Amino acid sequence: MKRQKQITDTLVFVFLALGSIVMLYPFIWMIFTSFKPKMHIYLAGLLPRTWDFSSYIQIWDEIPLVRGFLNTILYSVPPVFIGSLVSAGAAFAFAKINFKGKNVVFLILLAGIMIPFPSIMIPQFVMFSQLQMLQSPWPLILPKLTGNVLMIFFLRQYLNYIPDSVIEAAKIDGCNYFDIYHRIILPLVTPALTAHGVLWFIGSWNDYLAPTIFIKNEKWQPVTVMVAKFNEQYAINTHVPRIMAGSVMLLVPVLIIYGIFQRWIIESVMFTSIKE
Amino acid sequence: MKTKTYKKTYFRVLDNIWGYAFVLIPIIGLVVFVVIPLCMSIYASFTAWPLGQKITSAKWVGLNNYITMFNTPLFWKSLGNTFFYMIGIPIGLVLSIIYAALMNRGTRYENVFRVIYYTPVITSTVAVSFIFQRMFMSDGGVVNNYLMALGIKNPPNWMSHPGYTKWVIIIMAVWKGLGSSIILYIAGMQGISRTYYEAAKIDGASWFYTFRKITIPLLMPVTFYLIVTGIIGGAQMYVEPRLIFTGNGPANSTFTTVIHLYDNTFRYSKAGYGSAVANILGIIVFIITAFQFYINGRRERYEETKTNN
Repeated sequence: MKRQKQITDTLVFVFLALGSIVMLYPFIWMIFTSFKPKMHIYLAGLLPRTWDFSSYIQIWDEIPLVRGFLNTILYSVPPVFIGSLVSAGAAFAFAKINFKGKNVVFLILLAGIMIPFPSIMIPQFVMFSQLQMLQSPWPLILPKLTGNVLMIFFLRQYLNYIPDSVIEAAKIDGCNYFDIYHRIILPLVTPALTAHGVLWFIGSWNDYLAPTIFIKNEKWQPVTVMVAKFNEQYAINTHVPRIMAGSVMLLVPVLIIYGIFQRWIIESVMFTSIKE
Repeated sequence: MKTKTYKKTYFRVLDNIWGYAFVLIPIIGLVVFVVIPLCMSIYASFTAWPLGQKITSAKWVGLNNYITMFNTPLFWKSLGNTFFYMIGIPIGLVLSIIYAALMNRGTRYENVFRVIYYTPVITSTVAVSFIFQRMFMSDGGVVNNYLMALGIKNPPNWMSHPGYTKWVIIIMAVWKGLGSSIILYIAGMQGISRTYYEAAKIDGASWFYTFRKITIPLLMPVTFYLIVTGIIGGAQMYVEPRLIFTGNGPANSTFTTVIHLYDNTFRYSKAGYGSAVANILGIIVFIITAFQFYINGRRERYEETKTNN
């Protein structure tokens, strides 16, 4: 019996390991290809025969990478941070404050996320253009500041597990709701808030469609749009190493963040889904 | 007595003020970024509205945009392609439930595999699209090199044959989404009570029988959620065909509805027509999502009556 279990464990391990190769191969191939000279891309073998860094020098010379990364950070760090605090406040109100019509308001907010972005991007574009914002970074910042309904939804469920007596006790101690929010609720939801915030951050780091529409000033383009343009340009003369160097630039920061937060992210995805 | 009711009303008013103060910003966001655009989009779809002109001065054309749309073969082609991509959903479901079962056996290495399989989920679609485009190239693409090494003499022309182009996107979508479905299935499996499995074991049921008769049925909510989110995401397919096949692809084989509405609006400036396409897309997604909420609600009510009895 024990022997049989060992055999099964080994077989499962081999099967999962083979799958892991498929999951990671594209990234490994990307990294090694980016260091190959252009003529070597048709040669067999994953590893470069000579290590060539010219693709990275080229991308560094040709696109304002630092500016692109700073733009992306501007679109994904402060707005997600503020939006997360706003979402936590709304989740707290929906979970713990009895106000008139809160269920209706909550349902209306939920109904809003049923409308896909492509369906409303044309009027949003027109709105931003009439507000003279297409030359500025605001179209990618403002919508995030008002919070994220999915985050409100998950945090509200999280807060439902915290007993009301905690809030009542604080009220008796003379706390108003804002004190309760920033002294009790925020520390309590920090793990969930961080995990969802990181996922939101990654999503906004990877965003492509919205910036192509709303950002008309090249100075304000996020790094995804810059790299996509760079890559499309080299797709014409199939300069594969350069294209892969572009993809490396996009992926490495996200992979580092994922490496730091991986346990947290996966646990949070699992935790919130169980409560659904 | 009187001061008590006075105090009660005072606190109730205070609760209302605080409650709305906390939810005010998300409500403003909803109104400004969803409700107003939605109304504009509905109005615009009945006008001949060149992008860049004021919407108020656009000429009212009634149902013309919708009639044009239903008579445009390219629209139907885009809708057909968009739904064709959804073949990836059942493929992903079968693969992810198998992998989830294999990663939920209580062994030490499982967490490492979960992290590895989840990696594509968090990566940029832009970067990954370019990688897949190059890997599936007919001349010198690694995929065909491996297929030939496996003895397949004439591997498909992935990038140029209209019968294969969609599969590049489907393969990529399945690869990229697999980890997410696996994690949700594992979470679902951990929510299933041990007692079911113990009872099955006492009855002498085989592993496969237990998997088929207990695990799969009890994971129905997760499966349903994955199908619906898959359809919603699939209906919005844009970046992958745009970057892998520069949009239309050979014989329009990779063209999608969002590309159709994007091109008409932002390239040909036909914002009225684009809004009509946007509305149809929105209606399709809305119906699917509302259907999910309805079914979910019914299931919850059913489970409540079961536990109450």
